[in-house]
Amino acid sequence: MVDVDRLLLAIDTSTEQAGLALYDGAWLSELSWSAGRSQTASLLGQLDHLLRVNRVTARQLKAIAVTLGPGSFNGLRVGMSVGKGLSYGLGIPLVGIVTLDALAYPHTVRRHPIRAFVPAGRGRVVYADYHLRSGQWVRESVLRTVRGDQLADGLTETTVLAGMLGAELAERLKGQPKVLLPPPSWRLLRPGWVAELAFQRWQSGAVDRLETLEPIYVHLGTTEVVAPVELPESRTRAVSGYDER
Amino acid sequence: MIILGIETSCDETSAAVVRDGRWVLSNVIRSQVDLHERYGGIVPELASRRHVTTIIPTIDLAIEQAGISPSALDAIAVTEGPGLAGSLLVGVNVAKTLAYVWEKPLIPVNHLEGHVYANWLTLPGEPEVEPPTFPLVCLVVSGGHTELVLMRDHGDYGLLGRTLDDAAGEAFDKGARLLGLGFPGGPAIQRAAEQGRPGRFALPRAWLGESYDFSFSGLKTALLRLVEQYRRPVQRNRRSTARKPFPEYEPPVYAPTLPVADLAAEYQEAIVEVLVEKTARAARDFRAAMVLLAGGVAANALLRRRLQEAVPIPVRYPPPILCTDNAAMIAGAAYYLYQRGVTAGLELDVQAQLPLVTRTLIRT
Ligand SMILES: [Zn+2]
Repeated sequence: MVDVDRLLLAIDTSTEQAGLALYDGAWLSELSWSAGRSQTASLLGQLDHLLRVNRVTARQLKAIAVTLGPGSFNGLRVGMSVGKGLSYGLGIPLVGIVTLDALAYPHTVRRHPIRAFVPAGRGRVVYADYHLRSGQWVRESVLRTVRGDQLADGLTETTVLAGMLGAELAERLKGQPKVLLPPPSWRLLRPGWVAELAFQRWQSGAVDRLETLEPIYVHLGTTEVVAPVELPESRTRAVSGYDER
Repeated sequence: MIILGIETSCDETSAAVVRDGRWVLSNVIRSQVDLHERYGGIVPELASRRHVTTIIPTIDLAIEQAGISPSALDAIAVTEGPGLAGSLLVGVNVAKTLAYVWEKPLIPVNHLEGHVYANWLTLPGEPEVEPPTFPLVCLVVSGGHTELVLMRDHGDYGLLGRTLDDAAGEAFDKGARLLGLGFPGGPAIQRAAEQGRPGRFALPRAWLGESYDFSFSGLKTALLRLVEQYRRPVQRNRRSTARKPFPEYEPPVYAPTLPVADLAAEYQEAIVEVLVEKTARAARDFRAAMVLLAGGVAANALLRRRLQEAVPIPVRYPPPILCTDNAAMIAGAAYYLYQRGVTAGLELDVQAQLPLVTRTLIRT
């Protein structure tokens, strides 16, 4: 049964693969589709569909989550605009989640460092590193852009690469030392991961302000590392009871 | 019928509430001039970003100032195009979402049509504005557009002519940049021209034969050639190592003898003369009952005066606040669209290149 007293909707349009999830802390329903560049045309229709098949209405939603990026600038603006519209129109809180945090989240059970990334156009990716320190997962504050084939450069210990890659690049990276490359279904951003991170934040009382929340825009330079982007400190916790020890 | 309008096509975030296409209950405009000033023009990516943070407070204020609650709204209208894609999609997605959760009809509006319909609006506390009389000729002239439109009735448009290159407002911006006068260019050139004398330097007018089309790129090039001879070489500080995603405007440095005022006066004259001549001719050719001005450049005093002198019929233009991009004009135009059954579904997308009319009238 859906617990409509705690029903959260998560929206992700960071990349051309868009996603939506409904989550109440226990029950989850997800929708993920290839939106290409037409997120504006497809997002609300898909939301309407997801609500209908689960027999809930928009007015039953209690919180909205949206990915902050990095990702496609226009894609992020679509999700943010719909997320803010829902939050304002329904009078419910909005929670922003860094896209890379959601990508890294499922891999925190494996205890290896994680490098999460999203495509940044022209064969480049934006990534951040995650480390387990004193029992706590911590994301470094700097987002870097590199060419996709340089994604594993500079790794000093075995690291999980989390994010979508072309088949050819995936094959090349897989063979490199210190690289742990999960199968595609574990690297494609699942909207449920966004929902779960957001649910934890929302339940802990953290919500964002509609007049200040905006996407994280990471620019491509001609150099391989763009100016660092400072992010608010964010920690993700290993899913309790789901540990590979 | 009470309509909430939303407009984010360029560099103003705006929301408004309008009754029956004529009565403005509120019209909130968040200008971005402060943001783009240092770049000497609008930076589309930065405009899109600003919309994301200002859109909700703008809508909230428009509803509050109208003294209504969202449940009193009969429909939501939004600019679908033309404009900057990244900016348009903020307004379109918010409008669609509000229409969805509030269960209101959604009305897509062409930005240019909105400018025309600014002439039907009465601002709060102002005397009633009489609806314009058909047939009319409307010159929509702004930073993004220069279109000459024949309108025989509501929704019945004929595109008589348009710019083949730069929009008139864009020409003002580029001229102001060349003369080091700042942004936005229209008011800056008009101010500088007050101290100057047109005709001292000859700048070209592109008449393009008998057509109603416009062209302003040659004018800008001619001005560039004139000012080049006054330009002083400057030492630019190129040491900055950080690559800037958005390069800032560095004003040109000229000899103090540069006749800025006279050049500004002639530049303005050249733009206005062509606009007036073609608009007046169209009004005669199509026996218009009225000439309307719309868009940001409609605020230009010389353009208004010359047009009034050139035609024997009434020339009308909206108050300045309705000339600039605003959402009241979108909510106003939406009323007339809704009367004809125009609504959109959840799949509505932005149309950066949306034309006002797809047919061009044959001259009769
Ligand atoms: Zn405009």
